[in-house]
Amino acid sequence: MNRIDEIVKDCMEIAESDYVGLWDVVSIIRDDLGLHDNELREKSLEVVRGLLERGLYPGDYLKTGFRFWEDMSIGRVLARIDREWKALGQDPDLAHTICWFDRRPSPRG
Amino acid sequence: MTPDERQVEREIWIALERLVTRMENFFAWRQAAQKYRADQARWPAGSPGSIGGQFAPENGGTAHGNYLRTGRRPVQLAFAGDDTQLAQVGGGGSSGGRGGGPRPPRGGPPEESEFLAPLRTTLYFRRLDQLRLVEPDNPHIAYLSNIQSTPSIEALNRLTDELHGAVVRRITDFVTPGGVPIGRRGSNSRIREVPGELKSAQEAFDYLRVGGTVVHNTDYVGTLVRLPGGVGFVGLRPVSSSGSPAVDIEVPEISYKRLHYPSVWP
Repeated sequence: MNRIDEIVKDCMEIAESDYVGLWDVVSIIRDDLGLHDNELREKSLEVVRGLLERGLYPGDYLKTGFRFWEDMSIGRVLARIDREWKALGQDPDLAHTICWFDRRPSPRG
Repeated sequence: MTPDERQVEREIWIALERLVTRMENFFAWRQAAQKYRADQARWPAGSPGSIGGQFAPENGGTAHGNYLRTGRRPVQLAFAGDDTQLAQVGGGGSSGGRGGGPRPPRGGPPEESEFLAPLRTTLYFRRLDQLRLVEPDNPHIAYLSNIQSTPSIEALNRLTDELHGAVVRRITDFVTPGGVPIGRRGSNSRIREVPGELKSAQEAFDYLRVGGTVVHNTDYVGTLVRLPGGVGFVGLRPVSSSGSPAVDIEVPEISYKRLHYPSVWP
């Protein structure tokens, strides 16, 4: 199992008890692999792909609840995260996490 | 002053801190470049004692100031040959137009950053206050408080380093008291489960957030605090997806990212 797979596994375990923030992915990769800038973004997107392939879904974690993104095809999700990350001008953190992930879609409220 | 006005004041302080740090980094970079140019003029290429080039430290250097924070790899600096242009040359030790430029003015480079002195002084004492809050028994407080004049960039960086270390120690001592991880393992090794529900979560959050600033411009669900010393963030969410309160910790030196406070505890 390579490091990316291990990080995907870590995040899937976190998802058993909580939402997984993109900041989780980013901070784990930065702490464990020591990556920054473009490399950090590219590896983070690899991990996100792994999470999506294993059944997590992206969404916005709001005070009113978790709202899944409308379009959940893997390619579009990765493109959206990549686009919003570049527009953010910094790496996602707890204050600006772009999106969170949860195991299953629930009825939108 | 109303709460909104206080918040605006805090946001302004954060913006000012960032601005001052960037400007001081720039001035430190320029001073180092001027020193390099003076050295090149004093010891031209090929002369005894000439060196292959000055390099920035790896990985952005650390927090101490008077050198170049230009990247994660060593960057050689050399001048393009006039007074104002500075060329960055990656790798190698022989290129770079050495010895071409005139000497800098007698008396060394001007004190470019002196107009920032009042801000630096204010920042220094603000961080000193934060250090007193975070680690009241820090053995360096007396020394760091003994400032006779405007603190230098190096002094401010030393204090910031001390503050950074104090915040990390405070969090480390909380999540691994006596070297033993708090609570029990959660669904992943980066999560700890702790008894006590919301009351304990709130107490933990109140302890960890000391000296920090509440972040308002965020979509974080809960209360988010930016920790002093540029350490990271700590947040309190009253409800996580599993229903229990959670304390989020985003600090590179801390391996635990979450503290969960489940209602059911054996």
